[in-house]
Amino acid sequence: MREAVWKRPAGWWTHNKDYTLFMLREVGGTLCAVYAILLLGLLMEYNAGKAAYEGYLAFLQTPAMLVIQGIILVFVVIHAFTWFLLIGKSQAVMSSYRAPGWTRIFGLMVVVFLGASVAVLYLVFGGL
Amino acid sequence: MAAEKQVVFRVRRYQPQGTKGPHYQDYRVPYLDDMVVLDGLNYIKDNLDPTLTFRWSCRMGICGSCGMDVNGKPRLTCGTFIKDASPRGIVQVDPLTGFNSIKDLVTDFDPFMEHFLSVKPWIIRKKDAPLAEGEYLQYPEELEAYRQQSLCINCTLCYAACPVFQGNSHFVGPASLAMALRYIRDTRDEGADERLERLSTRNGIWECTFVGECSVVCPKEVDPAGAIQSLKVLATMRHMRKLLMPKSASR
Amino acid sequence: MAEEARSEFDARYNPGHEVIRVQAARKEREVVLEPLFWGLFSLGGFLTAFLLPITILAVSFFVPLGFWPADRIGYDWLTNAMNPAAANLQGLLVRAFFLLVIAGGLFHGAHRFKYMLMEAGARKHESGLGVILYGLAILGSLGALYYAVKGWIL
Repeated sequence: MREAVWKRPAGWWTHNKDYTLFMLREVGGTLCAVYAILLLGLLMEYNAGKAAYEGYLAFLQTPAMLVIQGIILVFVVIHAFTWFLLIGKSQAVMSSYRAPGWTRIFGLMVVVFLGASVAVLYLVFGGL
Repeated sequence: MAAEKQVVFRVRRYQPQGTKGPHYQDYRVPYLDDMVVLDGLNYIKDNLDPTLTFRWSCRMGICGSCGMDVNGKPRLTCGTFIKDASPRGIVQVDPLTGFNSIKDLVTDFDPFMEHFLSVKPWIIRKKDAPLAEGEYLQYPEELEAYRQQSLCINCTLCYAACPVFQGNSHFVGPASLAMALRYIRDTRDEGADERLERLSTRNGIWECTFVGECSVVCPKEVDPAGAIQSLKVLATMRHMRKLLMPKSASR
Repeated sequence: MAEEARSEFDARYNPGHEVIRVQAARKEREVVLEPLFWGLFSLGGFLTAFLLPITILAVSFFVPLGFWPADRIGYDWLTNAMNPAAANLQGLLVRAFFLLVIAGGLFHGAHRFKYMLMEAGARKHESGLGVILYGLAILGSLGALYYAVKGWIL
């Protein structure tokens, strides 16, 4: 019996909003590593002395690098927020109670996100 | 007679004996607000084109037979109202994504059956208690632990939604993995280690990239995506235990 | 010929009293390292989701945008922030922070990038990709560890 064979099309991730968000999340995840490399560079240059460190900061503030870091920021935020949405929509089924709706979980994640950001701002970077 | 509302059903046809490949055919279907897409397909078969072939049974969302892509989204056609599924007066019906179609809207879901059976969806015990001892007893809380995954009706909408399965049909898939968790979580079952060994493979749980679409389309809220995440955690913990304490008893 | 077709059809779709055989599972090898890297990926994702956005703003944007003067993230600031001798443990916290964000980001990104490449068609080269990508992540994390303890333990 000849069956009509199904093959996944190349642009599969454009057909559906959730798939597109997933792809953006994937890209965001990868860009996390790129920024981690930039931070590692920061520590490296710091250890090479004041001039090296300030030179590196100046490099990060060139227009091209600012654009790249801006793109990274956008994707990292999308990555975080699509992950918060996902946790709500498909909750790790760890406990036996009827889990709260995804909006509550999402809201909770956003609150924790804001709290963590404030904590980092104050504890690491010395406050506003 | 009052003017009936009409909608166009754009249905994907495929006749294996014919020479034509898959193609779309339009039908004009009158409908009422309380009709579902399955009613429309039955209208077509009864009145317009008896050669149209599709699966259905209970028409109330419990048998899992009538899954199809409605306007590109995997849906149970018995649970999708025509008035909601026709934004531009057209209801497009395709067979479920990810599976080959045998004829018209009928899919070949053998891959699903193979994967489903491969996770051993039955109670595994090292030694069955003798019948004279009676039933295995279980508290309500113990039932709650796996009840959500036990609601699966094997409709394979999750397979249609999963882009990983669409790209690689060797992936075990959401429904099978949710069923594996259902048995692992069941206190009567003693086969967790055996199953995790099978699941913790390249085409098992590790192929899943947590897209999450399976849980979005599931008509019974089984949440296979969450179940797979739980399995990943269980498998990782078991792995760590095996590495660090190889002599301790399994599970 | 009709009989042939019929019996093939029957065998496939009308198994009759035959029991459905569980396909002798294509004997798949259990993965060895994948759970470990998944765990690191998961942890890294958790950390980067909460910690990375504000870090990017502070390190890359607050100065160029004019919210902060340049010395807010200058050499002297970092020396002070990473000073392990401070009684309030802030120095150790800052060192741990950088280590976690860098290592977390590297493992998270390596895992995701590997899957992106596999989705794009490089499935056959999965172990090779793993060696390269996780290897780079490990190297980078060791580097971050080195800088985190330099000036404190080293």
